[in-house]
Amino acid sequence: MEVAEKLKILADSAKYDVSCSSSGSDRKNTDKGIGNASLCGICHSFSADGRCISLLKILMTNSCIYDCKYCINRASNNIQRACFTPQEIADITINFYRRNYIEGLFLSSGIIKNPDYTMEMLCEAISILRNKYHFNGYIHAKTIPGASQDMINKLGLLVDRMSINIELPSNQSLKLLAPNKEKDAILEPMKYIKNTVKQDRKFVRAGQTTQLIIGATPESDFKILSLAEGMYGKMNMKRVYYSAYVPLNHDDHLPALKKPPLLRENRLYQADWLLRFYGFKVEDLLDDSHQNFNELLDPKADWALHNMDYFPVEINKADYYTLLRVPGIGVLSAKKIMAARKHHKLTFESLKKMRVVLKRAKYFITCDGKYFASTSFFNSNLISSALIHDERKLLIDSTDTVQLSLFEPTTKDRVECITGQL
Amino acid sequence: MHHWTVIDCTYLYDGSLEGILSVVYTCLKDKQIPNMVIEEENYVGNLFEQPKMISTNLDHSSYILEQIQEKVSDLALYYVYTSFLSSDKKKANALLHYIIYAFKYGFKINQMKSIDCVIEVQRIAKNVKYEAHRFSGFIRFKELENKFLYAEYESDNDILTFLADHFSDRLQQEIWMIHDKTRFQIALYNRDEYIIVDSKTIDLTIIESDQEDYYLQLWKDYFKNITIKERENRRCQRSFMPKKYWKYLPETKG
Ligand code: SF4
Repeated sequence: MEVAEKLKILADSAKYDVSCSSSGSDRKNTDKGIGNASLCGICHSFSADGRCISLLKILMTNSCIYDCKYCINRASNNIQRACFTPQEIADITINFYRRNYIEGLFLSSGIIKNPDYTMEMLCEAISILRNKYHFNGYIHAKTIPGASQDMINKLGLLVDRMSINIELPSNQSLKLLAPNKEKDAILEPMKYIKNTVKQDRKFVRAGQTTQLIIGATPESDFKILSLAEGMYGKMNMKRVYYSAYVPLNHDDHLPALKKPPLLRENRLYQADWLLRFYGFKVEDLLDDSHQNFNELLDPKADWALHNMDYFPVEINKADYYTLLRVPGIGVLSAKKIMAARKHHKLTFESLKKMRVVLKRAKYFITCDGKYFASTSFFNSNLISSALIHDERKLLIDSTDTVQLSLFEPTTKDRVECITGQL
Repeated sequence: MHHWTVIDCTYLYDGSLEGILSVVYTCLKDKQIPNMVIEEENYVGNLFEQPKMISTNLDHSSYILEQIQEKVSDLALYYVYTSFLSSDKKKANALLHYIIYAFKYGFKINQMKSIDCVIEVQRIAKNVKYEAHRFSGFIRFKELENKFLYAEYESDNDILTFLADHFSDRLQQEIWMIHDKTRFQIALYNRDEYIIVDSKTIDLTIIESDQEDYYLQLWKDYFKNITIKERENRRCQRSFMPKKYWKYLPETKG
């Protein structure tokens, strides 16, 4: 089979993994090689679905001995199979990189023969890049579930980032939809990577990530975010990615969705930011009696409306973390407010002058004791319908697909975490 | 600036950084600032005004640069250099005010967010850096017959030195050329260092290598195949990668 044909097949089957970030590594171009990593990542292009193309994202092969129900590459699917040789992978990567098409390689694979054999092949491709071509650009590799520690070690020393996708947010779903994957075959390597990263600076220097599929199984937002919180805390994950389920296979255990649940995916990303940058805990946002976000609101607004007794917050007095909890006030605005109020009392006017966006915030704050309207407006039902009204406009505004700029967090992710007005 | 007189006059400069710095020097000496500084080429005159051309004086400009480095900070120098590369027509005026304030407040100048020209200069510099960052991804090289790499682009701001610095590290074992087609400048790199020359002075016959078409086609196919149809969102694509950049992005052409 021609390389061009292989590339079509193996890019096509790799595209459902949403992570693409090329950030977090500070690999330098040493020993007169080619390439370096940029700490904040670089986007090279954007595909028609609006996602950043930063890495050449391919599978080594889409043949697989496993039969995960949701996966296009499962053994029981009758699809065309292809397999790159390690040399072919290295050549495409180098030639794309020289032309500045890409920032590096994201290599994953179906499982051939057994997990370790597959890992061996991945290592070989990457080793040609690193040792023969002296490639110092970014490489992200997927670890194969069930791989041995030896192989994880070997791969980990060659790459910048590693990931093992959990994909299914509960044990039950895993059993049902990924019958060949043991929970431990996923969690053990994660733990091992976490511990090794701590000991060896050269091992997976940009850390590990994972991905969860949203909407293929019945888990609630509460369950999903709790899992993510655990991943950040216990496993030291750099990122948890959420991927709206795209129905590819027919199976009795899979829901028949017309469209991938993109809006829900977006809300989970927003909530994820609240966990990572805004000091929220999952149990602040959701609990047993409130298991899912109201998709029509952003999660912070949803939280605020469930916790009206925290509000209104006095802009001239509230501490930094209290300000951050106000819908519409992001990290940047909170900092601006903290700095400016040292010099003078803040009013709605002065906030506007400082370019603090008040669209959502105004419902939840007072400035020097004053509310923006008559205090009878301070009522969760009224505010909720006003917010949903604004949000709707935003959503309808964008033809039939939901306009989600938060779609795939990449470089922008970092920027928006700092400046984002959530 | 209390002991300064603002005079009702427009100063013109020749478009160079040295030109702007000469204006600064003149203003410092006369303790007078014009109500506007603008590049000669962009000046649209009117009947009632008699603009004053400030001629560029290299002694004056290097004196100002030294003073900024000594009395203010390297960061201020960075802002001066970077915002000068902007295509923003208001940059000279903003820079004049910025430098005068910088001499007054010293290294603290960049925290003085209540002064308009500080915000303005920082904003202009940020836009230049942002465009340079974007282009570090959007530049596309072609491989030529002799294995040299060649790229061309058009940009709003003069970001060629940023790009040349970036690729001198990243592609340090290649011989490459990066051609700014807006400003007719080209950076030439020889595995060791780069120089920037006027592109009209060199012969630019481009003969692509045998492999070029093959990899270009692979890349285009890859680009097509990576889209998830169920998630197609052209609007989002264009907001990240505005059409004005598409001219030199081969993957956007079928
Ligand atoms: S192991 Fe991976 S490639 Fe194989 S069927 Fe499961 S998800 Fe698909």
